[in-house]
Amino acid sequence: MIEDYLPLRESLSESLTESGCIVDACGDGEEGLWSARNHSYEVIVLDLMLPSLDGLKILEALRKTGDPTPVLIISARDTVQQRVEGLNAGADDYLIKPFAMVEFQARVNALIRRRYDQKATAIEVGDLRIDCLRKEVFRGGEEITLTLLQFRILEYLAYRRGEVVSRAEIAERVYHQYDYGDSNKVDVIISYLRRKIDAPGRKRLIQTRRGYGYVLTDS
Amino acid sequence: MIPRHPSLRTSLVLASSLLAALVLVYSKASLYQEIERSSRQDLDEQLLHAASLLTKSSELVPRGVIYEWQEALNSGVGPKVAGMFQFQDLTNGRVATSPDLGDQRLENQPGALDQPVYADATLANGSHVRTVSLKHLPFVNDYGKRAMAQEGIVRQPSDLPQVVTYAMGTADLEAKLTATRHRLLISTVLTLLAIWATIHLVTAWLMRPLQKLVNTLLTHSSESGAPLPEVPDRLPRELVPLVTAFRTLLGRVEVSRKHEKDFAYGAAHQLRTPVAGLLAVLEQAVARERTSEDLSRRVTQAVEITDGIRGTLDTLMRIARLKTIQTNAPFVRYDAVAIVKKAAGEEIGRSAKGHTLDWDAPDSAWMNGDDELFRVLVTILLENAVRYSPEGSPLIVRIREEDARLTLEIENVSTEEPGDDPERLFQPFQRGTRTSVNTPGAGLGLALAKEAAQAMEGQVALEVNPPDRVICRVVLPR
Repeated sequence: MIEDYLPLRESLSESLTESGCIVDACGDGEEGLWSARNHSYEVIVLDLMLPSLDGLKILEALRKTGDPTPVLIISARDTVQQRVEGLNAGADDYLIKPFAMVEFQARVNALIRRRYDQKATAIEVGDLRIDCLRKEVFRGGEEITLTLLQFRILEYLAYRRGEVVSRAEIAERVYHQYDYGDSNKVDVIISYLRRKIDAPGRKRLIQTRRGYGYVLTDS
Repeated sequence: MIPRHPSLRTSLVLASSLLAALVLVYSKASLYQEIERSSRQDLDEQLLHAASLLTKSSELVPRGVIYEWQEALNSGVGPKVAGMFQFQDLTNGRVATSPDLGDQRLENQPGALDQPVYADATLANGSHVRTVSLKHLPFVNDYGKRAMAQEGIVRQPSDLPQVVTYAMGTADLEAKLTATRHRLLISTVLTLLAIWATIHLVTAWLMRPLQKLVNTLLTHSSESGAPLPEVPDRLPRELVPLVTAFRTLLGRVEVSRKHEKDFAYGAAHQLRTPVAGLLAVLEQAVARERTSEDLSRRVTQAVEITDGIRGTLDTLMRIARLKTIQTNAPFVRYDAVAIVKKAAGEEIGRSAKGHTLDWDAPDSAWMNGDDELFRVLVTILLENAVRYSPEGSPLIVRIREEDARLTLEIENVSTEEPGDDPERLFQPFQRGTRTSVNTPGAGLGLALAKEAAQAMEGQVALEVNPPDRVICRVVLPR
């Protein structure tokens, strides 16, 4: 999140964090561009009028290098021309300040789903159903209670179902980016997750690809 | 009611056509008159020539006057006699007509001897003719004289004056003159048409750059930030001052439009963003169960944001009042040095950033005017200088008195970057290029200072001395 107004930045970050997201936030244009270039994010929330570097310039710089990360612009610039300018610069969505928090979160979630070509708010893998909006997980119709971290990992694996996801990727997406030095932490959480999802007698959906990582698949 | 603007092209066409038509009509009419006069003169000369020749055929003989042409006709051996003429013997009224005249008679107009008398006449057959009557005396040769002497007749040519009247039809002449009139009329019309066409083409060609300019201007008006159109090279020089003036005006409008745009952007950012923050803080506060301490912190934050918004609105209202309402503050005599000194002390004390004050001013500088407005102006400038300078840096205040004005300079080390155009900072909601929205204020201080200075009929300007010095200079009339 690149937003220079501290109260807004803190509140939005807090709201996203409380909904299960990991948020990197900064209030300076150049710093924001550096972060966006050097880390991989699900979504970038971008203000336009920023000190040191304008938001549109950040967006153009990212798109110029082929960065596909979905960008949600939050801006006080409200004219049609300004919105079109933002979208034409490569933004995926545009939200005019002030806005309701629920709308902001809904748009962020929509961009995350769009990133993984996921139109529905729930993902199904075999008889496993993950409701990303309600943060609920069911297997065979039976609800499974997960911790926040377990849910984040399962949700991420579900978004990329069928693909092998490395431990480093999981750590970067699910933990705070600076905390994933200990990759065993991922293995530990995955093992707990397996106990709940792939209970004895059920088909194993979370599979290990030795040396590569994990994959959530029904096949 | 939409005014009807005069057309340059139509005016040129009408005026030049009217003038050209007058000149052409006059010249063509003169030419025609000359042709007509010349043609009629030719005819009269031909008539006179023919009549003169015919006078040689009147011969005095013993039995009276005979006409040789008639004698030749009667003898049947002479040449064919052509032309319409008649002879009349003025002594006895006898008339002899030419074969071409037949039974018709011409009216004789006998004048003085050998003096032609011209007349227009209509023959019995309805044809129009021109006539010349020439009174003359018959000639007498030696044979005639001897014959009259033998017969004892004493007769002189002067005893038997004759009149010959010769006529020529004028139909050919009239036809020729009519054709000439038509040709002159056609040439007049063609000349006018040529003038119209030339004016039309020339004006159209000359106006092309103007039309192009108009199209460029229309495009310009629909494209934000498009460069000002250049004065076209081929624009008629008479229009260049107009276009240049228009371009200058357009440039000012562009600057004004940019200021308006900047104001709108700035206002949107400085007002909408805190409102968005306020909304977000309050929504988060009630999003879930919070401890009373947490709730208290969030409410305090919301109140601070509201205070900021209120401050912004207050300043905006103050600027609006200064812009639109004449202050009725009484003119008082006040010491500018004392006011600046007091305000500087208060600002430095309030900021607690440990600034030092370098003071370069006379003991007093007396001014006449609105002391309260001066206090507002000075406070804003000092507040800005303190806010945007690092801790412990010096604040330099200079006051100079000149004859009719007072100059106040406040110099500080700036933590902000004014940007390439420091004057921009005097527009509402404009801040340094690196200034965060979290920095107190909304970019209205210098705009308010400018309005206050202008309300005092003074000026305020910002001078940037790289790398980090900024001098704010106020010049006020005393």
